[in-house]
Amino acid sequence: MLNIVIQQRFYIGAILLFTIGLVTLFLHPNLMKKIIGLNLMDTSVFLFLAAMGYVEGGSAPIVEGADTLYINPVPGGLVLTGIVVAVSTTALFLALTCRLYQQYHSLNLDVILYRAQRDREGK
Amino acid sequence: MNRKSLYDWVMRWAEGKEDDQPQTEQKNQAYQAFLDYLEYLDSHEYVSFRTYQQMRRRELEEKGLAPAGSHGGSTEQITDSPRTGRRYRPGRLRRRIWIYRLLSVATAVVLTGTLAAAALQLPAFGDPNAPAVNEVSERYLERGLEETGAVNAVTGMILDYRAFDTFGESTVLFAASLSVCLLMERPRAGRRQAALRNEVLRRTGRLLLPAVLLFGIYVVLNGHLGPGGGFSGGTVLGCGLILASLVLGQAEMERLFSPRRLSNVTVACLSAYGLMKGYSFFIGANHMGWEIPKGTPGAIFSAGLILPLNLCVGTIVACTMYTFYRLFAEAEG
Repeated sequence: MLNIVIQQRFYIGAILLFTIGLVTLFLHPNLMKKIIGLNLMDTSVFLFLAAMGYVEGGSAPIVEGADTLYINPVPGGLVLTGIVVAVSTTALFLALTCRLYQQYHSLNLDVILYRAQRDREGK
Repeated sequence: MNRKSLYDWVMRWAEGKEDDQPQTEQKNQAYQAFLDYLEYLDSHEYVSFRTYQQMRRRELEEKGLAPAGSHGGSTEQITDSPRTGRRYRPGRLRRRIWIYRLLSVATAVVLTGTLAAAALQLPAFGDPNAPAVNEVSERYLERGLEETGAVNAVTGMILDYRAFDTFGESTVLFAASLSVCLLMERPRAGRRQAALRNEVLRRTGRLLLPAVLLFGIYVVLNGHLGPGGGFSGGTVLGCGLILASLVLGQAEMERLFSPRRLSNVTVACLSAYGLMKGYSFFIGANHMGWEIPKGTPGAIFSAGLILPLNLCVGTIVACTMYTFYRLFAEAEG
């Protein structure tokens, strides 16, 4: 059992990172920390994909000779796509957070919701 | 009880509008003062409503406005709350927040357990016979060199076999930068970020700047020959541009990289990418025999369209990075 856990350590690490990000997203009222949690989840998925592509004793897929063992290049391409989308969504979230801060002068989601409700009721 | 009234009841319950509680108004007032106090303190966490009430009462007692030992009109016993107040949404849902917390922690624990159990059943890490290492990646590695001409198999994959996917990716990046522009752009009093005031930092930055830019260009141009490519090289170039705007000042940068010019360049690169790849797909699908020559593998002018495509992607990424930085820096300043 312990042997398997040590062997699959990258997968386990990716899952732990994912859960940490998820709990941060659920429980922190601060919007910045929510975004950090989301980025943690992104990173865990990248770690998982990169670990999936590794082949024991393989080198980076820069093809030189025919008989060399290479790692799987497909997850590398997928991670590249994922990173770009993660950067785009993070920038968008940060911009939206900036706008919320300009409007409500707080990063706390609960305070923002409270003020928004107060504004709606015209108090 | 019909559905609408049930819905109304649930909403009232959630928002905490209770008709049978006469002291709600007074409570909300105290709560409002509490929120304003929090904003004044600029610390929205770790101060609970009860602690605030206690502090307020002591303050009033010190000023002699409230008799000592009274509870300030509140009938409940004020003690130090064991829970730190973190969430201040009013209403009954607020008081049931522990259910939400419990459920989220339970969800996380169950998810971790399930995923970890699944991870233990996965093929071993680094196993060459894993199902993920199938004929697709073998094909990329064995025939990729002759079919795309790129030594770097990942670059050959993302810019030749799956080039339309990368086109969509660059479009996502462009759309994100446009949305950030829309959200952050607002009339301002022409306030621009000045250069760094620290002499040591500025001189070191000036010293580093050519090296960073040169390395970015190298990584972009060598995408088909070694590790690197448009995305990584574009990120290095974007960081170089950010460093330049820190060292030289925003006003100096805008002479060369005005926002309008940046978005024009990005659109031009996206169109060039689409045109080049469209040409290549059209020619290839119709067997017209006008393909771009592959060249010698390993030479800088080889691999057909991959070098210009890498240049386009690198420019798009660098421009987008710098646009993000500029917008956020202006919003702060």
